[in-house]
Amino acid sequence: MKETYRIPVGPQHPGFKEPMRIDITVDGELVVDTDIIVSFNHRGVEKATEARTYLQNLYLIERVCGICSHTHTTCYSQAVEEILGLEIPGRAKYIRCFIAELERIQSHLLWVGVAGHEIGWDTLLMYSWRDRETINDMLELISGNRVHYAMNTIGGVRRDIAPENVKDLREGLTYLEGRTEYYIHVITKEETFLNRTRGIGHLPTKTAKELCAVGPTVRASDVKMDIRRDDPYAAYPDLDFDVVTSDAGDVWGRSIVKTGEILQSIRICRQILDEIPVGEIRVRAPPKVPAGEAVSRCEAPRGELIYYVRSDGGSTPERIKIRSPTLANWMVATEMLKGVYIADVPIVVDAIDPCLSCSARVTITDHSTMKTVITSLGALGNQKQRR
Amino acid sequence: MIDPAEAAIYLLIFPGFAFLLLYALFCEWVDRIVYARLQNRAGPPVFQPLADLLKLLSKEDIIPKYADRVLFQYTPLIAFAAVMVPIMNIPIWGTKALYPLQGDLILTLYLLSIPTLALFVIGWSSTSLYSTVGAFRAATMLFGYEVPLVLTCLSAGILSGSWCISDITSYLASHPSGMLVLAPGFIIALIALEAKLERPPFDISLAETEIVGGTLTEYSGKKLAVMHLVADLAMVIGVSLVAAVFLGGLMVGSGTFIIAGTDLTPFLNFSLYIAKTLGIVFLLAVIRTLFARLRIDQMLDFSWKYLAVGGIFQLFLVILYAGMYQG
Amino acid sequence: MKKPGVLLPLLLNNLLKKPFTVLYPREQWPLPKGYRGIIVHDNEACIGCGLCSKVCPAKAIEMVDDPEKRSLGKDRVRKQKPLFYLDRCLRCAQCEESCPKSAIHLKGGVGLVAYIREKMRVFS
Repeated sequence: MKETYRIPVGPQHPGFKEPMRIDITVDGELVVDTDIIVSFNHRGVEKATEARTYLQNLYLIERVCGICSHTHTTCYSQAVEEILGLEIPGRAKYIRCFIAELERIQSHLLWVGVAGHEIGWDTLLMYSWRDRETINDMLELISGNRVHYAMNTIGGVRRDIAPENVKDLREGLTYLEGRTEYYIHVITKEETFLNRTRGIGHLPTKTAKELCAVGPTVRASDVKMDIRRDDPYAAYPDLDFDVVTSDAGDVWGRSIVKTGEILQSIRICRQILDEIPVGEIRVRAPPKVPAGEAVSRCEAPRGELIYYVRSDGGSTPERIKIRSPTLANWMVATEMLKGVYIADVPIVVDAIDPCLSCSARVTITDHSTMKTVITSLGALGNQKQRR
Repeated sequence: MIDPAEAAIYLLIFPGFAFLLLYALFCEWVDRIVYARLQNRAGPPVFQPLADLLKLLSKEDIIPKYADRVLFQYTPLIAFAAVMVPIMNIPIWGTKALYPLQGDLILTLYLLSIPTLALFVIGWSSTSLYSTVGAFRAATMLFGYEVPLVLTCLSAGILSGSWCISDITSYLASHPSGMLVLAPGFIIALIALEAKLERPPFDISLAETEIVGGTLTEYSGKKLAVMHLVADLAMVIGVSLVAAVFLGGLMVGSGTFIIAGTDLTPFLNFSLYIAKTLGIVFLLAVIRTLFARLRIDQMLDFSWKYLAVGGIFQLFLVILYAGMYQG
Repeated sequence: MKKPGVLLPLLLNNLLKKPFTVLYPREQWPLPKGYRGIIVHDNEACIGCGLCSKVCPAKAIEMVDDPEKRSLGKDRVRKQKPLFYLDRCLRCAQCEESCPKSAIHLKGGVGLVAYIREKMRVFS
């Protein structure tokens, strides 16, 4: 008779930066079964947006996530501008892309550090976060704050890139390019890192497509899926870049994809600084939005972000629905955790780059008893629809 | 006969408990500041380990409901006592230790593995899931690093023809070329020592990001303070052992340093001892910074493929040398 | 081909250099020009229109009665003035953007510390 333990990893665990619960059933050191429970971070953001005006919602939506905050506001502004029928000036589109790419670099450098911490290599954490300070300083120069840049508004952007700052921005980009190439050298050569990430958390291409994974997780399984190419928005139709994929399909493949994307982002930023058109940065937007609905998609650092906005003609929106990329990647995480060792659980879950603040958007309420029920994603599929 | 007053001063103050405790805190500081400076950070001030100790002593002490009370509470004291004893057998101010006796090499190696067994017992008696996994890992790691460490230390014993650390040191002091023969053993002992002390890249039983606190998850307050002190003391004793057994020749003979008629050679040898141990602590800190944590199966793989083979190679080297040059 | 210890040259290089840490509060990091800091209110330019209070997403500005009743020219007086809840402020600068008289700026710097929360409710 085999003796198996059931170990709850989380919701309070030093390996995860945000509260999520993964119950792993282990046999010795091998994981045989998993069960993921999210929604510890549900804040009722979607309901809160219904009580605020469109302009006030910008700042609420920005605070859904700290690392991909600009992408959230870009997606939201694009949806509202589509309902209004506004066309924003070219310079505003370029500035939106610039900040989005800087945010992508910052998010991927953060991931490199956190991955190092999960496998017990704090040195990588310290060095990659030291270099991340350069990006934060660049963003502070442009927008006035290191997190939550508040650059977007409905109808354009609020601040311009001043000409005297361009020199510092270019120097920062050159420095980061050198450092990123060094990190790529480290993660392809360092033996202890390869031992912990090669072959761990393998995701075959077929499963990735079936379970609808998004972002660098699916790009590491050799699927070329990127909203900036498939459904371009803002200034992306005019910009030239490659979509980085890898056929490794494991945690190592994901780190290769992420560091490769940093280099591509630096390339895009340089193009933007060279080709940005002069002109206005915003157009006037009316406070009341006519009735209508719109869906907009953006490529957040973690994958595809979808916003649905519906308005009924007043000054507050009627319904906003957010589908963030981490929510789409949870099913894939369950698949990847089968057959790994306990020691690999944090790095495998971390390879999908979970952002719990983004993903906890679902809670089940039982109308007849008015109680909230926390259930697993697997059980959701088996439940019948109850009205 | 041993004079009781002299013995009391030796045992309690220098080089006994007081010196050992202060030096352990100092070595922890050196390790932390080298670790920080290698990562381009500032690092803690000198009194930080003492402040951490005092803070832990003032915290609440919690015992889980289902834990075995006796084992849970008193095992740290056994480990603490065991790890302080070997200072009497390791030479500090010359080639002769405080109370040398035949076979104290084996005794020191044995006493140094008591903290690992204590970690296993603590993890087991805590009856918490995380600490049980940590206890398994601590016991499994014993299979990996004990053999290389003992093989290399015993090679030094075979070279000098005695199992007494003081005799090994005096042999190496009079035949410095013996240190070159023991050089591969020194490197292997360094890596095996890192595993013995449960430090990264081998801190598998205390892995923070995987199993919360590992074996010491349920510990808090006074008991955790004692276990941290045991880790520091084990580091000092282990490093002193490696310094005496492999680098023992870096010493001056008695009578070479005379000022105003008094023989100050012990002071010189003591400073050399401090320099040697701090140098080894520096090397251990560099190893800690360089590598990611290994998984338990990778660690056993590595120990048996490289470390144990290296230990056997060192043994052959010593036997060859002894046959050729010692007649 | 993989080898261990790839970081060693970088580590030894940094061993003797000055650490990257900024030892706050002894040392300070310079703030850029457009940094969004604490609210600074120009009492003379303010006309008490209340636009800042309407657009604030965090309810950090409340219009209260102005006992001073300063004259605004043409027989009008300023009836209300803003009270700022600095502990609720998000530093989004929407008030700075919406003010028709440019009477609010976010340039007060960093370091908002108080023992009593009520001390953070100020008029300027």
